[in-house]
Amino acid sequence: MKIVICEDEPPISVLIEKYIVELLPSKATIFKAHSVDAAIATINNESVDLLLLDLNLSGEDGFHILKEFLARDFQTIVISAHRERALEAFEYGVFDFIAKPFSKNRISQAINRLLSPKRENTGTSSIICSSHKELRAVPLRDVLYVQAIGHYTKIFMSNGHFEICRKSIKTLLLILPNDFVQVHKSYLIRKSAVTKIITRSGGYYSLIISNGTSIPLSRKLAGSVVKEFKRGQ
Amino acid sequence: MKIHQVHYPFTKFTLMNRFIPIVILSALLWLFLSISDTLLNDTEIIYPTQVRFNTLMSLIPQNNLDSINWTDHTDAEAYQALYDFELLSAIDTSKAYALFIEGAGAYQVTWDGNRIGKNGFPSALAGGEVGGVYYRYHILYPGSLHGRSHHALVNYSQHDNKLPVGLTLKLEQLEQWQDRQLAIAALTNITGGVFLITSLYLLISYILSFPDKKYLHLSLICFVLFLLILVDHTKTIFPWTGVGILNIRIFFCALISILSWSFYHFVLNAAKAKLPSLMPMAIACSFLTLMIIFWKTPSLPLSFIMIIALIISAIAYARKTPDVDWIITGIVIFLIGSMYFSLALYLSFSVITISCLISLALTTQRQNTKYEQSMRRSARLELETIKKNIQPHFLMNTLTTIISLIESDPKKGIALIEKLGDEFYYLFEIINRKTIPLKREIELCQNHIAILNIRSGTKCKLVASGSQSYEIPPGIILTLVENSISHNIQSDKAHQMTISLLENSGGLKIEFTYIDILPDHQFKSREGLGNSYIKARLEECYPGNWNFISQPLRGNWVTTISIFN
Repeated sequence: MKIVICEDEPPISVLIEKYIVELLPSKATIFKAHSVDAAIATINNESVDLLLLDLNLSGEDGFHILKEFLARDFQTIVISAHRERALEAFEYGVFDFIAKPFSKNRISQAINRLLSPKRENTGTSSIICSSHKELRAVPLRDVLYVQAIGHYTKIFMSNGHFEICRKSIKTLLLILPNDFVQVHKSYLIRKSAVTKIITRSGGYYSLIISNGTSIPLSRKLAGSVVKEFKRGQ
Repeated sequence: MKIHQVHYPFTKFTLMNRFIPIVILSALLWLFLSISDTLLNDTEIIYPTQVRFNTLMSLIPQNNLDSINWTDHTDAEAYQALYDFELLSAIDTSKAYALFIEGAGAYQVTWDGNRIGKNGFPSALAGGEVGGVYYRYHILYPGSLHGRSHHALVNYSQHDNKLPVGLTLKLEQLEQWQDRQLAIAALTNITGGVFLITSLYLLISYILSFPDKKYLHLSLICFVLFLLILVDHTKTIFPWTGVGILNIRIFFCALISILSWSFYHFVLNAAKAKLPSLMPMAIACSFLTLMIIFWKTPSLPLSFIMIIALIISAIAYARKTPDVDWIITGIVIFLIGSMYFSLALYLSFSVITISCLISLALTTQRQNTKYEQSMRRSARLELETIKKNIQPHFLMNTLTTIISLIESDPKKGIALIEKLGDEFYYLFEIINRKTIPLKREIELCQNHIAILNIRSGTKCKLVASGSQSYEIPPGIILTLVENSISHNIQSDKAHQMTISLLENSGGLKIEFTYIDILPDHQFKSREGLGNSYIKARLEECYPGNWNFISQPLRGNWVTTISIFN
């Protein structure tokens, strides 16, 4: 697991590193960046899994930088003194928000959640997508389903348009609320958008969603998905 | 710090806000003016007409009026003469009458052949005359009045007076005359008293509460008005003789010039604008000239004064002097009123003075509001700065660093906790005190820098030189330090800051230098929260007497704060 720690104050940076090493002995490769630019450089060079970001979220600049990172394909955990902006950070899709000062326990909580994902209702209300160097926050309530295309995903909205997102299905799953389920290797749909389940020949299923699109349901996942639906009803 | 929000009425220029006070003001003034007008021009007053005169001085003939060489001249003035006034209208012979004679000089008066009174001692020779009082009344008893046609003969001389002043006779029933005189006296006392007390109040206010020259000027205006009222009416009390009348006139004009000077400075704030002070003197001289030329019809000089007042106010209005519109309103109300009333000078200026008072009250209100706003702003910025230091970034990061140091370097951790304690105490001081000694402020800046150094691993340093005994508002130097460090944080560079303090008779100069800024670094002086805080604090403590410049200089960034005594 590749972890980047972006923290400009050395004692704090050292502290976080110490805790991570104690919690994930020999499982993690840690990169320490002392500035946002250094962090971006590391992210561009490595396929990072987790970013621990210390950000001054008092102004708008902090959030702009946060959104830049949230557009990428890794989980971001914000470590900040500005607790009051936690809710807002969650809405944009951070995996966790750790307030300063923090204990080893708190870090451990976050890491455990990351490693053994039990789907919980996150506070995400929009997904950050980047297209043509522009960042856009796609409101989750408009999203019907997500399709993986190569290294990217297409987020399809109720108005028929889609947005390109750099996060993979796997990464997205961790920050999307329970209403979203993975139905296929390449598909993630909103449960409440499904109108019909159609059985095809050969034991294949299709899910019809509200705008008429047909989404394939993989055989592997069929069982658990149908159970989810039944449970939901 | 609780600051109550005071709501001032009539601040906004809405028609309603203007309309109501103007209506009330006009109504009060017209009431006042109509009362005084009625008192001054009673239709019960009878004016005997001057029919003939003779300049040959002689003893009053008991008989043989026909032997005198009369000249028909209804409006004659002479240094000595025998005047014949005729009264043709019927008078109530059962009542007593007061014969009111106005004239500079000395005279003897007979009514229908009976000698009823004298004023001084008239004489054909200048040396022989004894001057009399300017106003005199003589009583006509019921028994002395009979018949339908009456003659008053006045043997009159006025050698002392350079300008011949004619005689005016007025006849009025004694009772009514007495009542009216009392009413006029009451009115005079009231208006005089009002102006005297207002003048005293404004003077005391100027000395104790509002050292604004406007109060002094308005106090002077009110006092001069009081004196004018006094002069106008002591003619009846004090034995002003013929010469005295001229002196009164000169004194009058001197008062007008002081009045004009005060008004001029009050309205135009001339001292600040460095306008010539000779202007009001010029006004007074023109007034004097007009008075001399048109002394019989004083309305022209009075109108002249009013027009000058209007021009002064109009100039002030054009220069966007605030609150002048009320003065113009007052003058306009007066000018409209003067078409219906015949007014004495003091009454007209009292209108102006009231409008000046309103204008002054508005100015004070505006200054209060501005001060309150600046206090509120200052309080808010104070809180913002405290929030900046207490809340999030600084405090939480420091605590996290302490956690880190607890195991890796406990001694350093303890030192950091100590320094954090000092920092908290400092913030407590900001809340409570208006100024702190420079020495203390710098001490705590050093503390703050030490904390930042431990946290970031930097080696920032502040070197202070100069006298540190001056007292300044807290948080200013700290803000400068923070601005410098936050703009340019680089852990491999030892940031050097110097502060030099120069104290002399002119005041204090603080020069804060951030040394060796990188040329490619965008060290823009952001007018952020930091600089606004500094400026607000300076304005609150030394209003109008400070200066703040922040600019690059020879590869460094220099901020200069000057405080003037």
